[in-house]
Amino acid sequence: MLPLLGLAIGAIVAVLLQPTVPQDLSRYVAMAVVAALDATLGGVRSSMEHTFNDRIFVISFLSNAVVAIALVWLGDQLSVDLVTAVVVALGIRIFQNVAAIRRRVLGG
Amino acid sequence: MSALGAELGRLRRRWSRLRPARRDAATPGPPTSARARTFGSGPALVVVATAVVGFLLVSQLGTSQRFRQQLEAESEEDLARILASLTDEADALRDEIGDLKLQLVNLRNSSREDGTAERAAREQLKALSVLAGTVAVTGPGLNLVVDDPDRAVGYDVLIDAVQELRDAGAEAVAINDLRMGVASSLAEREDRILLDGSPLSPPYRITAIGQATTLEGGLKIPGGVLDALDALRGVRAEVQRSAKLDLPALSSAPAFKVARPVGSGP
Repeated sequence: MLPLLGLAIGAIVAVLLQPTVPQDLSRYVAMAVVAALDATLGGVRSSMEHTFNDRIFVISFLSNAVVAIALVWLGDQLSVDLVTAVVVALGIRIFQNVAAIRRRVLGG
Repeated sequence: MSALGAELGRLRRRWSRLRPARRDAATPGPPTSARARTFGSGPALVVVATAVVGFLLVSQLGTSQRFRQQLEAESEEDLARILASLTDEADALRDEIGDLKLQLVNLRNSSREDGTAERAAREQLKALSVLAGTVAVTGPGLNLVVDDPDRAVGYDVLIDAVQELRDAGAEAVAINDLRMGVASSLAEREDRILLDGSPLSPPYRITAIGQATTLEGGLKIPGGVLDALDALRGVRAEVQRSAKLDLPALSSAPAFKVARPVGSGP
């Protein structure tokens, strides 16, 4: 429940403040959000498997976001589209996590 | 410092408490949820981290939505115009990249050519300076000393001697330490020999830089310069080879009043 609570708090604050993400940073923020989403789903999965550990969750959460942003930045510096790499890698993990959650919930 | 150490110890203890839980999770068996969940500052961190994500997610969504609304507000023609101008701009920038790359290559080539041309010009300048006599030179060669107490030697004999030395490959010639350049002349006035207007007095010492053996051979040709000198009354000519001779530069560089170079030479 805690992650959902946090998400809700953040969302409400954002709706109230109406912040604007600068165009230049928009891609980085998007990547960080995708990485954090992966970490969140991983957290949900581990809590369903009763192995949730807040310490590991927070660390993976932060490191995912930082690594994703760093990769995108590196890609920009090298003129290589590393965004695709990040999206593919995180996308696969998100699907795996969702599949694991689905098996837990539906039992199959 | 001690507070930091205490904090570190606390973290380490917590870490060691956590590790078995993870190992338990890896091995199949009854769930150990009670041990896996640790409470402390953890939940607060989770809330903060997820709150940050929620904040970023919503602000990103809001930003891109606002941008989209901005674009949707434009009419179709305006959108087409925006697209066309953006495409034009991209094309122009791409053209500029091509132009600049071409310019870069050209500049690199021309700077390389400039370097080569400059080196060649420097070499040529050096050779021409020696030839014209505008620089002092040093090198091996020989001295031809002509003792002439009776002033029997005429300027024509000295011209012959200089000409013979040049034929034999002399690269620089001087008479009595007066350098002979490309435009130097020998003349005679009132029984005195003049080199470029400066009077010479015996004994005449003709100094030539070049291959000493060849120069000497040139002078000693039968019926050549040495024979001609010896035939004159009271004249004694002597050749001395030298490993190192120093010739001065011309006192004034040759100046051209009428001749103009054709084209744009270096």
